Amino acid sequence: MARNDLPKLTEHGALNHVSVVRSRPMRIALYYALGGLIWVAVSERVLSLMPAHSYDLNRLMFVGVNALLLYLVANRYMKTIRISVAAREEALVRARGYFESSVEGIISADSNGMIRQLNPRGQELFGYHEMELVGQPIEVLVPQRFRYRHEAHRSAFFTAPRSRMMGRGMEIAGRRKDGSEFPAEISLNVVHTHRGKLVIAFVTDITERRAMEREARRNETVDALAAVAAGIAHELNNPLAVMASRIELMLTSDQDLSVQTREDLLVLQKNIERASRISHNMLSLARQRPGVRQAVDMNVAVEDAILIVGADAKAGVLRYDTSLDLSLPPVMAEPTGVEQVLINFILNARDAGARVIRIETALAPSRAGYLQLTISDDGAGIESSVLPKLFQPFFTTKAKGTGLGLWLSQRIVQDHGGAITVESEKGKGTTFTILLPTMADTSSDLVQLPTADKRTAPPQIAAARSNQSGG
Amino acid sequence: MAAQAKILIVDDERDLVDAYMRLLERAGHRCFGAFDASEAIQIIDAESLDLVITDLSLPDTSGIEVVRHIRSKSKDTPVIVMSGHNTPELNQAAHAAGASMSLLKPVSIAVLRRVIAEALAPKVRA
Repeated sequence: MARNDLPKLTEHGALNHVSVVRSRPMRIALYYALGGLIWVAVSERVLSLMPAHSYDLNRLMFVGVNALLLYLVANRYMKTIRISVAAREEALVRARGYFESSVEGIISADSNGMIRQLNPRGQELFGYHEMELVGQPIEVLVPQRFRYRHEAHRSAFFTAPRSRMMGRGMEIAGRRKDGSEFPAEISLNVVHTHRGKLVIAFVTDITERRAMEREARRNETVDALAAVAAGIAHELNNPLAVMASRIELMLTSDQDLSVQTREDLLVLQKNIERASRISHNMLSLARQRPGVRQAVDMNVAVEDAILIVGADAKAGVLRYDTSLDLSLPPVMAEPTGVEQVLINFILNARDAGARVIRIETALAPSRAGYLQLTISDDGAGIESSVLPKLFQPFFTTKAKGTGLGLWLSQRIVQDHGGAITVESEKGKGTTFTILLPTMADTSSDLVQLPTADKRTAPPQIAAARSNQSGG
Repeated sequence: MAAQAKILIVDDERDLVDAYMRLLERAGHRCFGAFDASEAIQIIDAESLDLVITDLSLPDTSGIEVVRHIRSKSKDTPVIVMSGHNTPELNQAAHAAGASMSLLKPVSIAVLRRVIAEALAPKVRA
């Protein structure tokens, strides 16, 4: 963390230079006394060596040597002072640099808890100008509910001050000028100055870190649930397959089935297919790494998906309207994954009461090396308040939905380096747009297995989604 | 669809093998069923097959052994692998052993029909 890069002010060179300068007069006196003593001791002898000497010359010599001694000592003294002043200035500039450019908010306060200084980042964090805070009690920056406790802690801290993290294991929050709060991490350091103790607090806004931790926890929960779901799904597969095949046999035996029996069997068949789809989704949840990828022609994938789902669509009620760009380059993808995404979107459109589902493939106009697949329906549309939650796991507006279809689809598309955006208007229908890198673009990635963290969504998703949630 | 293809279906779920055999026989194919790998290997040795559909988890050994065995006999016989687990490692192992295609169970009849038709009449899709 940045904190470790910052030097402790107590260890700072500036203070050492000050002490050097202070001890200098003592040494000057000492040098002078020593020089004078030697001169007194040897002056008689030196003067007697002179061929002719008088009392006047004697006095002149004494003054001259004294002046020389004083000059030598003073000269050294001035030189040392010049050096220490330069060093101190440099140290101050450096300290100011740390202070001004720190990514952490830095606040200093005296032993009465009065704010002395606030760096630019601190002003940004708390929304105050430095001038508004200097001389104010530090509690101004503490949320109301913590203030009383904070004052007690502060007094205790000053009786035995030492550098430490503030409130280890506790929720710490800063209060902005507008009264809002942010979660913070604060470390306290003590500096001894000639005007008394000074506490220096380093403040980091940990809003983002908190959000990431929450997201990680949620993903862990989802993964654990997914593992359980996949286990159950796996056990259901064979019984489902047996039922599906027996019903198919009965339906195709073409013997004297009554109309009612045939209809019942069709209902059974439809429901087994539904159960199988849920089971497939559950199984896919638990997948940790992407599977085998191969060149997939998205146009063929679209046709296949329509074929698979199409069996459900009652003739005449639901129409597919496709506009496929046959010159599209293939994408490097997991065929089952892509198929699942397409089926999910088609089923969603169907469940939204669509009469026409329009599927288009084209080269992405906005991004080179990507293809764009749009699935538009004229169904019920999505409430704008619901749009931001659309891709969350277990979020569903369907009475019988699992809330996993879109979440899973997004995960699959992101695994492939793509992105999904949605545009919807209540009562008018919904358009999902899927961007996927084409093979021309991903060929360089083939050697390295795509192990990129799938939890971090490509930034364009968030941007695109927020653009559209207003519409 | 090629008429009268010889198809081997391997799965320890007897009800499933039975149903698939009946469905495929109705489509005019000749079918063999096996409930474990050793049985499957015997049939592979005895018959010249046009298509093999095998589960990956079999009671005696992995379905991958079945895939390897058919590959040691014939390079071109299409082999469709079905698995209840969607792990990439398993898929990769199956493909490395020579499987033509892997499907995730439960496979819908419509998909199975299409896949079989494609396997029996392989064409490069434009």
